[in-house]
Amino acid sequence: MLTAIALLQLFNAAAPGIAELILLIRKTDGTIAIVPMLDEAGAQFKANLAQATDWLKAHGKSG
Amino acid sequence: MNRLRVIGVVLLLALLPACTDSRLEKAAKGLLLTSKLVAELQTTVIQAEEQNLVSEETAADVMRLCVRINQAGEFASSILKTLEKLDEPSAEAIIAALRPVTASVGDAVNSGLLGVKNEATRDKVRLALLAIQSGLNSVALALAIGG
Repeated sequence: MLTAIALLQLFNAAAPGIAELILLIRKTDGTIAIVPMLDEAGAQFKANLAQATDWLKAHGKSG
Repeated sequence: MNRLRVIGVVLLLALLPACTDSRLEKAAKGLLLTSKLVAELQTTVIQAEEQNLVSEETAADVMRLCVRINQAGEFASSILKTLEKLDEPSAEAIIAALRPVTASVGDAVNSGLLGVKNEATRDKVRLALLAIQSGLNSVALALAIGG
């Protein structure tokens, strides 16, 4: 039972990312534009970075 | 460790069959997936800290780790974006940037995340970290072995 729960948790954790990936792959008749994908990844990393540094500053943990 | 393997297999199964023969494409997919996983982890940790499900210090540790992951991810994205075809020095530079961050994510998982007192939150954070570790490994693998 515990194993089944663990597997379900794993699936639930990974599924949203995998679903997005499959949608991404199906875009543009199977051809994938790499630069827009990297632009999106870069923008997401940048937004994440801003969120994390802002949080650390707000909590006095940036030093 | 078993969880790591399962997540790794799931991610690789998702990535590999759908790819064309380009190492660049595989790395880009892995980076995009990782960026979204980090966003989820940060949101989880921020909300958990607000609800006192995780200590401020532990949340800060995870956020500092996220800063490093995001910096490495942004670096990798910016390098790959300039390339029309992947060259070995660029691949090696990206792998070298990802390696210590990936190791730190593994260390965080292996630490047991004892600062996260709430069990459900601890499982969620651990799974997110494992998925991120697998995402980073998939990028390095794509750059190293290609397809």
